[in-house]
Amino acid sequence: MKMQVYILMLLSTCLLLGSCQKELSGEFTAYPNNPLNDTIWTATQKPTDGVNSIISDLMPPVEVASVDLSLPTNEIKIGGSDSCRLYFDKGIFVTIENGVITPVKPEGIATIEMYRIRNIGEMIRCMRPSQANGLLTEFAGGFFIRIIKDGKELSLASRQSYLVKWIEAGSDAKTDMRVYYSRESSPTPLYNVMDFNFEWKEDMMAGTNPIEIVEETLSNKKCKVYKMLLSNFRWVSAQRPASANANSVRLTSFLPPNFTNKNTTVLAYFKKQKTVIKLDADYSSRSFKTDLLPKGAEITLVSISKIGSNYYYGEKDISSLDYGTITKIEPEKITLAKIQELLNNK
Amino acid sequence: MPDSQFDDFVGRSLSDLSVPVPEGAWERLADKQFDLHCKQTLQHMQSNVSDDLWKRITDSHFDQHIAEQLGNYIAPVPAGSFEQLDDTRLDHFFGNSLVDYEVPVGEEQWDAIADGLLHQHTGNVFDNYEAPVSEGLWNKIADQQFNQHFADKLGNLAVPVSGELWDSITDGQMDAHFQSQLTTIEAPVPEDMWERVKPREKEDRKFFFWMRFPMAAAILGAILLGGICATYFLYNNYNKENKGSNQQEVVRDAAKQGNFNPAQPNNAVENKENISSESNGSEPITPNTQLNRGNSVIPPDIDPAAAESFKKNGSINNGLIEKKRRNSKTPIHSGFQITQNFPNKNLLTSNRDQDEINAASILPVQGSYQAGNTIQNKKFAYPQSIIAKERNEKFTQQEVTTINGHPIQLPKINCPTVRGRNKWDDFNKDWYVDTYVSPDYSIQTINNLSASQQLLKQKDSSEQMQLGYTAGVRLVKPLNNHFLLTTGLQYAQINQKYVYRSENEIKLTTVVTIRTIIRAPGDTVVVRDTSTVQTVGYKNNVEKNRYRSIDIPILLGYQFGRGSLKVGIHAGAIINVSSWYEGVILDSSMAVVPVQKGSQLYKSKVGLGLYAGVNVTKELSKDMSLFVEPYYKHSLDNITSEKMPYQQKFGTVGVLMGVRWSLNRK
Repeated sequence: MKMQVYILMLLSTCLLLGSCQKELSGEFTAYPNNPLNDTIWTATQKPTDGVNSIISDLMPPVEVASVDLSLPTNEIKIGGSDSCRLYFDKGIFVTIENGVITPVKPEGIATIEMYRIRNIGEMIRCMRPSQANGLLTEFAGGFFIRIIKDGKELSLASRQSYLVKWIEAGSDAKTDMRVYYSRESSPTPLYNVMDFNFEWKEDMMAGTNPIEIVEETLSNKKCKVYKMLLSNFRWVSAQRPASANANSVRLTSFLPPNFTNKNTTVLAYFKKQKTVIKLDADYSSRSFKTDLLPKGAEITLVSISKIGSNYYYGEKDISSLDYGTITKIEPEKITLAKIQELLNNK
Repeated sequence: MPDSQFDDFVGRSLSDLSVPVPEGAWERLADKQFDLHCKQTLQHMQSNVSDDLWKRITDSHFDQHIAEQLGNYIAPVPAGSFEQLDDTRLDHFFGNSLVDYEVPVGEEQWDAIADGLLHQHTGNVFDNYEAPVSEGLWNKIADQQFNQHFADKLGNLAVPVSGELWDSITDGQMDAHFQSQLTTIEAPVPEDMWERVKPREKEDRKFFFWMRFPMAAAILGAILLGGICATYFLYNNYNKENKGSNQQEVVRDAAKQGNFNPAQPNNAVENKENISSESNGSEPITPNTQLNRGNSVIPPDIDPAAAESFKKNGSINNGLIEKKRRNSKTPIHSGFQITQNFPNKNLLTSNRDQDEINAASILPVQGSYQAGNTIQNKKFAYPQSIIAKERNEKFTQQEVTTINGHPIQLPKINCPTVRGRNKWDDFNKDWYVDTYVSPDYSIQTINNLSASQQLLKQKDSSEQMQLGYTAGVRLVKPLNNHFLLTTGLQYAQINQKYVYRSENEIKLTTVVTIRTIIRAPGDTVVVRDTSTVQTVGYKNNVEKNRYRSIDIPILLGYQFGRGSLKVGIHAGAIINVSSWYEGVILDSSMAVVPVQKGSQLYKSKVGLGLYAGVNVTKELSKDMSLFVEPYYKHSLDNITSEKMPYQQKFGTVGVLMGVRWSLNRK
């Protein structure tokens, strides 16, 4: 009888081994070239890195208007609410080809393209922080202006200028503003492309008082208006050096390993003034840092990451910046529209 | 003077006086006077008898004297003398003294003796006593007296039959035996007979006993469903058997008329072949071997002198059951006594060993007997069954009840309507239950209706058939020695592995990062941080599709083989009772979607399937066998409903492995 039981047990075991196989769990295989799986920092950034495409996604299209070059004066209203006006006189444009001004004056109708930097959100969106010559600045307004005729970008003739008047959004007009123009890479990139060589340069030729604050009636309402006489196209701005640079401290911020300097940019802005700085990537510590912020500043850190086609957004408030502050930002996946909305509200 | 005084005087005065008796005085004294004198005078006198005197007295004189003097003398036996006398001494005394003494017994004296006393007396005294039967005594006994004697003495005698003997008798032999013996016998059935029979009948039906077990629930369902078919086949089989029995009747009639040729019936031929092949050198039984039945073993054709020698030696004595051999090792077959001891060794047997049984000694002999047909019992596979079968087939009731031309009236056996109950008993016998499991491998067939080629290609590449299994219980009813009817209930599961790849899966991994951060020149801080790393990739998902079904197999099998190993084929239909599907499928957008039980995409009843298998059964005991049955099962209908863009069905191969349990036999 024992043998029979053994036979039955053997048969049952064979059946179990044969037909009752274990459920195979899903085997995960990481994509080899997916940006999310790339947690390696780079010592030298490349234009193809994901972080450089953030600006292209965030920047809105430029505003476009027509300029009649034959008119004595062109008044261009841009930006809605009659808050910004540009004035071009006749004969101030030249055409430059291969670095040489063409002898023929451009005539006819030209097209003006302009992007206006009005607030913190737009400063972040265009990645044009308010820092110049290693110092913090405070923004009053900035513009990207370009005149195009027959597909060619026009330039100002020597010693010619044009006038820009605008009403600062969100705050009262500030005094002591200076004119800054940009130094860009050559050839100049599009307005919505990251330019590693971009930096604000104060226009020392603008005179002692290049920006005036005047009171005008716009739309039946009296406003303080900035009057800035410019002798450059493309990126121009009204800034003034920040007041508290003397007691600057280092701010260090790090993120989870998925966020590297190839896909993430970290900026800090002041809550009470239009000052935005961009933190530099520190390869050795896999972190972002800046030495420009003053101690005790009330700032907000913002990280924008683009990994693949996905966006991640992180924000961290620091009520009073202390010595050697080290903080961690934990970005969350977010849509581009949501980022735009967040930036519009800043 | 009174005589007494005179005698006393003479006695005292003349006791020592001797006076010679005058010559002639003794002759004148009459004998009676002398006897009277001696009696009166010497009654109480004791005198020593000299040794010389005793020697001169012969035994006969003494016996005669005692007989004359004490013949009518009854002397009281002193108290306690009988108790001191043991039985052996008394028997010895009577045996020696009264062996030739015959005393007529009066009629009234026999009646006064109770049967119990006589039985006790004769049983003890004559148990081992062999008495020769005088010549011609048997002829004096009328047949009616002989039959009456056996009926009275042995009518209620029950002899235990060994279990081994019963097992060696096949059902068919037993049934045929009773049918042939009791066909014409009508016996009154007592009113309470059925009441006494019914409980025993229930106990014998092990089939219902099995119903107490949990497995019985499954069996019951199979019985109900398979019962109709089983009854149909059994009915057909019964009709066939009736035809066969009619043929046997024809054979019996032929035997009655003396035209019976034992070589003609198939069973007889087979049995003889078995005997011949297994007798291991012994002489085969020729077709002319005539076998007798019953108690008599005297062949009619034996030389009368030899038969007479039988009787004189008192060994077999006309088939009487000899009490002195009651304790011998001679087997008793179905109540028939078999004698073994034959005086003529040359004629009947050459060896009296208990293991060697002369065919003529155990088989009834009819017609011409061929000497030397000695068959060793131990070399028979089933000697008793063969014997019983042959004698049941060859001889009629008339031959059985006749010994040397004298009819024997067999004791009546009261059996209630045997034929009617045999139908049910036959049906209720030889039920088996198979419990089995089987590893299965299925092959699916896809027929496209409206599905895209891409979907079918993706489906084909994603699906891999896996090993499934079948388990079930089924009832097996042998219709005869070869054909089986099988039905039951079984559960089958077809397993299919569905492999698909899911993209952009996020895997989270917790890591600890250590950073060395310089807060200021000369101020370095090590920061440990626990973070979650996300990794994107793809995942190979494996799902199991399961096609489950509950089926009723209805199979007809043909089985053959010898000994404990049998081979057979089974074929029939598989009726699906219920089926359901669980797993995943591809939808029209090539997405993997789960399908739960009860989905309308798959049928709940598949319908009919075909089954064919080869069965090999190894008998381990009378109650249990192991079997292996490779099979192929093909579904005739699709498992998919009309909502699916393709049709799908399965063919399954497997190997049933199981145990066959006998329900009726111990």
